[in-house]
Order: sequence, then structure tokens, then C-alpha cells
Amino acid sequence: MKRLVIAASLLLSGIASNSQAAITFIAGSNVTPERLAGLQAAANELQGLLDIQQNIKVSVSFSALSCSQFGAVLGYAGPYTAYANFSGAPQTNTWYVSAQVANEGISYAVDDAVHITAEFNHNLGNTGCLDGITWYYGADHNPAWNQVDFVSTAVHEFMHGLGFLSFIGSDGNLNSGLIDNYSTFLYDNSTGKSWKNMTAGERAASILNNNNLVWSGAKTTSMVSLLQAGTTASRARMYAPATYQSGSSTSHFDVSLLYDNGDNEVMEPIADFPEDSALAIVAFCDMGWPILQDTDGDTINDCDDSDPLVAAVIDTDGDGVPDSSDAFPSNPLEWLDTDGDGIGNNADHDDDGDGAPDIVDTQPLNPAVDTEINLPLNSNYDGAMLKEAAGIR
Amino acid sequence: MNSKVVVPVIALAIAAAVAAVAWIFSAKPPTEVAEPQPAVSVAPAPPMAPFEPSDPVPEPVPAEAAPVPAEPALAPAVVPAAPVADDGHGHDDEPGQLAPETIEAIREIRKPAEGDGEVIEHPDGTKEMKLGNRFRSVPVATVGPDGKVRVNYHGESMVPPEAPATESATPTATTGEQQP
Repeated sequence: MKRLVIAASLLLSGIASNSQAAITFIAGSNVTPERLAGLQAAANELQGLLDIQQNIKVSVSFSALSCSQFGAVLGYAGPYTAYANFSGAPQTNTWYVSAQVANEGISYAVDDAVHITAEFNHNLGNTGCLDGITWYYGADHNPAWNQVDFVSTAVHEFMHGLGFLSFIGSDGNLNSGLIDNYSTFLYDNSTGKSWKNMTAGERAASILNNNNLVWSGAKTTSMVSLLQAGTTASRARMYAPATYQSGSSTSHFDVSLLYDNGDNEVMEPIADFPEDSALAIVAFCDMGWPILQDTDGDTINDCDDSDPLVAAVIDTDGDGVPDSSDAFPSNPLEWLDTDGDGIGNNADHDDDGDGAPDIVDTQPLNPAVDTEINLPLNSNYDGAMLKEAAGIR
Repeated sequence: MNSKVVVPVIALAIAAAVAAVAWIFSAKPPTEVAEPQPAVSVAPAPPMAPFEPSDPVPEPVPAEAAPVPAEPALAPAVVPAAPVADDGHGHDDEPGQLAPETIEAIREIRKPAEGDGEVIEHPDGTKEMKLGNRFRSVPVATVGPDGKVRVNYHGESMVPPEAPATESATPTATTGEQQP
């Protein structure tokens, strides 16, 4: 099947939301206008791809986090609360981060003071804190060689806050006895088992099963052909190095993922630019988030699109002519208007508008030729018929 | 030729050879462009900034407003990594690695606060769990030996596991590992 759109510039390829809700910031210390612009750029990217139905509240500040000459804590972020067994929960006995629960309109979470907490290092680049290495707050992901792309960093961390993370650690134990939404989509290709059907011991082994821990969500799987590398058995690999890495293992796509256009996935554990987020966003779809991302540009979001990589043929009036090439997409009787006079060719008696009625025009669709057919004498055509053909009444 | 004559002649010959070699190398373009090095490679080792998550001190100079060193297009030579002055921490703050203070700071950021992990059950059956600090991800940037900056979205993965406590810890209802 031919793919019409590849993963280029997917960070901005969404359709519009009907909601006025947004990712909002509760600004703490040192949030300068420039920094707020960077935060807003990250929010805009996410809002362009996820359908935010309720305000998602992010507390954010900039402070003096630990750093030295060669290494710096850039910040931290994470979800603040999780809920389970709320009314309408997609899966029972499953933890959901509060941002998602809020987005579903559940009052407990909507009323939460904060859904995601975040803090960033305001000393970056100052003496003794990666001297000369500064934040880049631009929305274009184009930092200089000595800058750190703030927006990409914020997008990655906010995605964790929105639920792209596992609550299960190296021991494989569930958190307070319940699995988390994200982990229900982790699947071990060696054992053929989903994490929700595993024992803690089996999960602890699966966590280290490099190249065989995959994402089982159907929508993400339907789009893995966007990748040139990073799949096992036609599913996207998850990061499961043989040595457990706290925070990185299982809560990311594998570092081997590579889009057709050469980009890396933003939800890999190590920043490697340029990055795209197409699969991460449809993973949110798998997890129950409404999304706006529309990879094939057919105005049907990837989540609702039966084939998100092939533009659907839309024919509103059912006349067999796709809307994209139908001059009258709502009129099943018309689809062409050669002379652009607003009268469809089926009703127009002079399709090409050259003055020669179609019935006698030797080339009725060529306005440059208005040669008329010489009708034989005593033919059945009479003046009334010609007038009617010419639209003259 | 006696030795008093031989010595100056040899010295003269050596000087001529050295001069010739120097001339050749000065005329020859470098075959390999050195990787540009950021200013960090020549800066003296600074004292470690303490971890102050709620530091209310106004920022004296915005980092992004500081003059940025231009990337040298043709660096004449690789600037060697600056010998780190003795800062009292030995040689544990090296290119590409996190200083012990930074590792400790990451641990502190993710250290569960009181109430983190507790589960409340509402009358309608909804369960609520405060995650608090437990699932914070901590991106870090490091400058490697090549002078390039790298971003690991999860600096906690660079933190070695803490040595097991000698005394038995109080058991909790949840898994011991915090992630991510």
C-alpha cells in the first residue's frame, strides 16, 4: 500500500481541536518571558498533537540545580498524582496519571492543583555550570553547537508527565498492587506475554530482554512502517538494556528506532536530534488519549483513522468523485465545471464557455475552439432545441 | 676539525634542520580540523553548585544573556581538556561524567517525600495515589572528552545504585524501585 505521507515534521502535523483547554503553567521563580516562551512552545507542540480537553496544570520554576564544569542537572519533571477505578476508566485496576484522568473530565483530577511538576536549571552556562553551554528557547529546534534545546527537553519530560512512563521498577512488582496504564502495553516477544499477564518475576526478566520488549498498542503497531529500524516482529521496540537503567529502562522507545526520514524518536532515553514524535503520539492514542495528529493529512486524526498512513478517499456526496477533485463536493449531480461559471457541466449547455452550445460545439470542453457542427438541412434539430441547448429561453 | 669547531657546526646543522621542519609545517595546511572545544575545556575548575531545589535567589545574570563563545571554524589545534584544579573532590568531575554532588542531587530530587506512594480510596471506589517525587525524570547534560554536549533525558540512569542498607528497612506497600 502506498504511503502518502512520511514522518517529516510530524511535530506540527495535527488538526484543530474543538477545545479551548490548554497545557497551562503555574509559574514559580525565575520564569522570565523568554523561558515562558520556550515552555509555551513545548506546550504548543503537544497541544497540536494531543487533544487537550481540560486544562493540564504544570507547575514550573527555574532554580539553581546541581551542576559542575562537565555535567549539569537540566531539570526534573514528573506526574504528581495517579488515579485508578474512577468512573469511566478505560481499564479497571489500572493507574492513570492525573493529567489523563483530568482530560477525561474526572472531577478529582480536574480539581487537582497541579498535574505535572517541573523545575529547570537557571544557572546553565554560568561559570561553574557547563560554562558556555546555554539553554536554547527557540521553537524551531535549531540550537547552536553550544546550546541545549529547551523545547525538546521540555516536550520529552512533559510527555512522561502525561503518562508515557512505567510505574514498575527492576523488581517487576506492581505499584500498590495495580499495574499502570502504560505498562499494560508492554509485551515480551520472547515469552509472548503482556506485562499485565506476567508475574513480578517474569516482568523483572522482561525488563532486561533487550530487543524483545515491544509496545503492543494496535495503533502504534499500525504505524511502525514509518520506521526504517527499531522493530521486532513488526512492533516498536522498547528500551530494555540488559543492565537495568533506572528511569530509562521500559519507559522509552528503544534507541534503535529510526524514522524513514532519518529522525530519531523523541521518546528515546538519549537526546539525538532531529527528533520526531509520531509513534509517541499514537502510543498516547493506544493509552486512551484523544489525539489530533494526522500523519496522512486526510483530516482524520491517526487515532480514528483506519489507515493512518494512507489518506482516506473522502466523497461527501457519494458521486464517485473524491472531494479533493470534485468541483461540487456536496452535489451528487455535478463534479466538473470546466468554464468556472458556477454551473456544473451536467447542467451547463456551454461547458467551455466559448459561446458555442455544447450540442453543436466540435470541442465542447475546449474554449479555444468554438467551431460549430454544420447541421444537415431538414435535420431533426430545430431552433427551439438549439436555443434550449444554448440555454437561451 | 677540533671539537670547538665541530660543536658549533653540528649545532648550526641542527638549527637549520629544525628551521626547515618548522617552515614545512607552517606552510602545510592541517590535514584534520580539530573538533571545536567549548570554553569549558579551558575554564578553571569551579566549586560545585549545591542542589537547591527551591532556591529563591534572583538570578544575577541570565545564562542565555551571557556572551557565547563563537564556534571556531578552523581551530588551529585541539585545546586539551583543562587540567582540573584540585577542588577537594579528587578527579571525580571529569568530562562525560557526573560529579558525586550531582549524583547525590539526583537522588535527592527523586527521594520520596512524606506521603508519596500513599493510596487513598474515595467513597465511589476511585483510588488516588500521590506520586510526588517518585517518578521524576531528571535530564542531565554532560560535556564529553570531545567537547560536545550530550543530553540524557534521564540522568537517574547514570546514578549508581545505592549500597544496600546494613539494617533492615521498614517494608512498604509498594515496590522499592522508583522509576523513571
